[in-house]
Amino acid sequence: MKQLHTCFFCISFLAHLVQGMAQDENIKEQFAIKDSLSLKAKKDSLIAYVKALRLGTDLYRLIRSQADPDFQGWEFVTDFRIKKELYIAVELGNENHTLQREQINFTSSGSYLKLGFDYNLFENWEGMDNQVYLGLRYAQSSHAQQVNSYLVYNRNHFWPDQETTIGNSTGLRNGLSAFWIEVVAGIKVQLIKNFYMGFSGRLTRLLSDKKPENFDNLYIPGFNRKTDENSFGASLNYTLTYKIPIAKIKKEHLD
Amino acid sequence: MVPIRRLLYIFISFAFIFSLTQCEKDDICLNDNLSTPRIIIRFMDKENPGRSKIPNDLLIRAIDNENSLGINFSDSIALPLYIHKDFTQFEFILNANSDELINIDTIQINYQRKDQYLNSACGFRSIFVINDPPAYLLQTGNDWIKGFTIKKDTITDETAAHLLFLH
Repeated sequence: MKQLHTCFFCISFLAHLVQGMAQDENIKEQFAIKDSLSLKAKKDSLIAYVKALRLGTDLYRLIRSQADPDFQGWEFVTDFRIKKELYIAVELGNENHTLQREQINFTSSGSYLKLGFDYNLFENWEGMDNQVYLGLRYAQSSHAQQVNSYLVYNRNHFWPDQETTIGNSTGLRNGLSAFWIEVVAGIKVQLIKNFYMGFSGRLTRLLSDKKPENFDNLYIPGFNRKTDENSFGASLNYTLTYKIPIAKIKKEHLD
Repeated sequence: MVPIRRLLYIFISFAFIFSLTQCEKDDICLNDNLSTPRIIIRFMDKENPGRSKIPNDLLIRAIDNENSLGINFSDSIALPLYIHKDFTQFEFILNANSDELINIDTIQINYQRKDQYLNSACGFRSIFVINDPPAYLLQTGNDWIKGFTIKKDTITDETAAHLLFLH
């Protein structure tokens, strides 16, 4: 229910923005008619980039929440252009994921925040604003682990194997946290005016985590699976974002 | 339009490379030493409790389980405890092949179970703490097992005896 509300909020928020921007465009067009075309072209060529805030959501987590009964999650994404090729980026999310490992069924739930920057490597044509970028994030989670059921590891099969679903080591372990860094590689493509579709893959490295009592952080919201062998992981998102232009930054006078 | 198409190619190849990294190796539990331990019972001489004594022609069966325990005859035996109850009952049959001398003692061993997390592949194993008194005979009269002594009340491995049976 909480997720649904958040979803509605995002959609209505975006719809509101689109309407607002459309009106804005109308006014601009009226002014543009008065301007001569050559003057407009000259003006545009003086603009180095548009300082803008981009807001959106991760589609992967939203769609997976609908398709996978063991997954509930959302991620809010935003970036802000501070230099021609440099963006501050933030992701805020929440996940509730039930996983079945070889012997254990458990649910990992909690929120995470990722902070960092993206550096654009893509040479755009004049007036276009697509991105192929590399980035870095510092991330942290606040989460809980619930052991739902497990099969006790026993090499002796004299007694039949039977799941433990209550008591013993089942139950909730809360107040857990994890800290990690992410190397991000991604793209953002403008679909229609101010709407962007994006994909990013992330290689993650766990810095530290507060382990649950008599269990482990086998899955961490935002980080994905944690393995016993190493502290590297991977995650991804597919984003839909809306750009809100804030200021046009002029080119520095070279001539 | 060319740059967008090029971007889409990059997009697809990114997605493809990423889907490869999502593959993971199978988690196989390779931990032989840290399985759920069996209880080790050692048979001692009731006249001389410091000395072990091998029972004559011993056969052991579990109550409510037809499977074979596969016991090697020596002064010590390892018995699997049932983890979903806090007791397990066994029949200790002395002189099992003799119609005249056969003597069946049914014994209940009492314990508390605790589960210990190992790793993601193996999950949890059980360890046990033996109760005090550790065991009792379910029916008395003509019993050949005369007493029980706790040697080590926490069962975490199978390297030494946990419980001594005097006979």
